[in-house]
Amino acid sequence: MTPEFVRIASVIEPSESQRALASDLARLCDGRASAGSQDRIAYARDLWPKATYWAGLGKVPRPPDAICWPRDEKQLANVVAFARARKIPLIPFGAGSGVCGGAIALTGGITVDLKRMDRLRSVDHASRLFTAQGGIIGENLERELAAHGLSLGHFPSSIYCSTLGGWLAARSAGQLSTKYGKIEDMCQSLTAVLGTGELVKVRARPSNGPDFTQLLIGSEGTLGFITEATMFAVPQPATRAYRAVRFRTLEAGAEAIRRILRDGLRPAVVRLYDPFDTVIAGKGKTKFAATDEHHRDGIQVIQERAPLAAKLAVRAALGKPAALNRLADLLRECLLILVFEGDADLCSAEDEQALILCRELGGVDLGAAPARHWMEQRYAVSYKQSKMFAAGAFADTMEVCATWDKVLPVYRAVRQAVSPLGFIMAHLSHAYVEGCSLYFTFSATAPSPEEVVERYDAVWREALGAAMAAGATVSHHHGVGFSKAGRLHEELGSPGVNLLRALKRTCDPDGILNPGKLGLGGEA
Amino acid sequence: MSHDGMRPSSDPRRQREYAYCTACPKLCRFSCPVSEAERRETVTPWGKMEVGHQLETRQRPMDAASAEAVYACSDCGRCTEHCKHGNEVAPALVALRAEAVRAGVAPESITKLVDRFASHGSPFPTSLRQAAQKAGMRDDGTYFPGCTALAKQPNLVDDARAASEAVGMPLAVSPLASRCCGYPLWAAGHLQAFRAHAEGFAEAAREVPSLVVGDPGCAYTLSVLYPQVGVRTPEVRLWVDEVARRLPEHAGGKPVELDAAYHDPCHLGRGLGRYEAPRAILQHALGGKPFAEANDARNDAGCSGGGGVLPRTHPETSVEIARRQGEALGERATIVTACPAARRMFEKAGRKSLALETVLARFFGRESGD
Ligand SMILES: Cc1cc2nc3c(=O)[nH]c(=O)nc-3n(C[C@H](O)[C@H](O)[C@H](O)COP(=O)(O)OP(=O)(O)OC[C@H]3O[C@@H](n4cnc5c(N)ncnc54)[C@H](O)[C@@H]3O)c2cc1C
Ligand code: SF4
Ligand code: SF4
Repeated sequence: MTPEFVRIASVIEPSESQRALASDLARLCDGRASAGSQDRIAYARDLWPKATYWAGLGKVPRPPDAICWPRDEKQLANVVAFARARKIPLIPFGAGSGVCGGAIALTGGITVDLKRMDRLRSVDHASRLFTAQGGIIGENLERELAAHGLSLGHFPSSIYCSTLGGWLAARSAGQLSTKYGKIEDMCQSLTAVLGTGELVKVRARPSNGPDFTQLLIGSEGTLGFITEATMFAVPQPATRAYRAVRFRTLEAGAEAIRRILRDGLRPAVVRLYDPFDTVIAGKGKTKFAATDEHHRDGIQVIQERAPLAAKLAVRAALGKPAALNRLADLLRECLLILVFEGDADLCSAEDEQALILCRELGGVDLGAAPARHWMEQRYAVSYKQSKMFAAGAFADTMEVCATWDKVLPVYRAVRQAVSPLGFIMAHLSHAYVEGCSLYFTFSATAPSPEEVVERYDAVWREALGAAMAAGATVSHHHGVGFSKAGRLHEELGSPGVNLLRALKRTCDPDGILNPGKLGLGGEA
Repeated sequence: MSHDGMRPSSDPRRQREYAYCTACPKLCRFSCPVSEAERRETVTPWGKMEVGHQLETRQRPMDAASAEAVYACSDCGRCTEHCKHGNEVAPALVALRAEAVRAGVAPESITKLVDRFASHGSPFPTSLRQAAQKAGMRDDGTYFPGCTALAKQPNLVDDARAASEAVGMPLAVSPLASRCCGYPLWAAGHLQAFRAHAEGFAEAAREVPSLVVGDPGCAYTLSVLYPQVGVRTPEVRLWVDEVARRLPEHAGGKPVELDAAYHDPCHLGRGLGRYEAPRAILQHALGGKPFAEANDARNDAGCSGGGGVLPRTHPETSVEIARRQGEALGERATIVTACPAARRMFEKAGRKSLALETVLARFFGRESGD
């Protein structure tokens, strides 16, 4: 199944059948359904960068036929029953921030927006649990929890534009995951409406038998709608300790992270930028002196001292990525950002110990300022996307993970594979005792839109192919959606795929839920 | 197909804003009261601004569906506060409304509003002149309460005058108060009519050195929007500033017993940068007792749903916005605000709301009463 892109101009007033569909749905969702043309355009795409690129040029993936906004599980179950009876696809939609085309309606159908279910239902201070509905936007959830002195500890870069249900559905990871875990580590139990229309309330972590909570997490809307979840909360941190360290090589920095985790330290944030990301993202500078800049703003240091040539080259050379990547090869030094949070004494002890480990590997202490600056600007990078796309280039990110023995081989393999096609940089983050995530950013442009899109596809093909061949997983936290579905099946192998299909048949016997995602389409 | 209504903007800033929003990961969406109330992607700042990009790239004409989206904004400015590009979504949407007007696809409620404006000189079917006269208009008066207060909340005007007098600033209503500032025309996208109205206002105000303006929306219009269309106005002095400045010297009064929560009006706060003066007044009137605020306040304050022309084009949405903001201010509190449109919205949402002017007049024992 490949997504068909249609001209926005062709998304005109709804047809008779679309109108009828919307009015049927409106009856089920107290009036909240639409087949209006601007609504269908707005729900035609999520934030899959390929779709963003096309939107700039006036094309969207084929829109859904109608959109509905159920208020509660009962209405949702009625929508499922309605769609089952007519074999109409249902596409769960959180906030549409997914970057793999997971919420696009490949074959039309009904997009089900879950954001009317957006309440923080209860907070249990004694057990440090809270229950919230799936449609709540992350930033709103954090603000509400903060009023209770709590936090989920989950801060994806998309926190402003994604939902709790979407996080669970796509196995999201936040910037503080090294301390607090990924979303699947934060979920105690959940409620879902399956593709059968049944409401299931999965019990809290079972002491025996399979864990159905974990079965639904990561199912990306192919098995059911996650309507509510009980999550583990953490207290608002009492203090934070910030540390930035410069390493002469990426290898040294990666080894430092490995030892930090091995020794039981738990920084909330661990980010090691490769040499070019170190310069470009404005997080450090290959040659800046350490101690005298402790109290200065990191970005100021970059602006004053980063080579102008490197900055200009980025703009000029996106069309000649190989040259730009060769320039990147000349750079060596890397910046490691560490942030500890929680109890003051513990933070400072962990910070001290981490610094000792870093120094053993030649790390040079840059003080707190660059790390504090990173924290203050931690969502700013997402704004850069607009400028790239408006300039006719594309930018995308690929996040995979690997065990420590494979982290650097994966890094090198992906860089080598992508270098002729697009500009590439990376950082390591989301660290574990056994490995970490590698987060690649690539961008490129080409003379014509068609060539840009060809280039985009080629970059992904080469990058993910090289990563998996070198031992990485298909994804770490962006999910699979439509765009990586084939690769997921490669990773699962045929017994895994069979199990997945069996699950699909059980939870969604008519195959109406999010067809084409996770490579599950046309099962029924 | 007809290309009617497909007119790209000639302003490069707007072109860039439409393009940036279209390619943006909807980063300000959580801050938009309209999309939060409706939970509809189409009315996120991203969705609304994409309509502009569709026009720029000649993908779609401005039609009724597009017009519906670009009117779904309360001009609260909160998204701009969260946009690192500084995109001014609200005025960019007004520019698109002008296209909707030109293409003849603006919502019917807008046509009605503009017709009423043409016949009454304001959005209300009331004679503002009579209302101003009743409120104490004098030839040398400098107080400009705004037409919402005059037409819908006349005791607010009395209270504002009484409280001003108590702080040593007797105010009479200016003859200019019998004119609306024209904000509804701007927000409706009738930009030529707005400019003509502003010119008429400026002409009538030629001899007036300054006005003490009560309604933050009017103050914003006169001091920010008029200059944008090349019209000079009298100096705008805000009622809250003038009163707050004089309060310390006129401390006498009886603390008001009120479980109060303060709501920052969008045009007063984000629009004109006034956060302290209204708080100082409320604090004073409560005898120093604390009052509640929403968790999101000041430059990140939520909206009452009363701005722009939203209550006319999307009445249910604007009430839902007021309901949500009321909830954020605390279920039981009386909502005190310095904006008559906000007060109206809170009352429509079933909340008790008082004008800041009234609370201060009550402190001085001079409240006019309903
Ligand atoms: C700028 C930017 C930065 C990002 N940064 C991060 C990051 O730091 N970490 C990270 O993990 N991700 C990140 N992402 C990816 C994205 O935010 C996540 O995948 C997120 O989990 C999607 O949530 P959503 O609510 O937007 O879901 P959507 O995009 O609406 O949906 C995602 C998938 O889940 C399904 N779905 C949505 N809600 C439900 C539900 N309630 N029940 C069942 N299925 C559902 C959809 O059908 C779809 O398949 C980023 C994206 C962007 C654009
Ligand atoms: S206003 Fe700014 S943050 Fe909001 S959608 Fe547009 S570009 Fe993004
Ligand atoms: S100005 Fe306010 S209502 Fe309008 S788009 Fe921005 S946040 Fe939404």
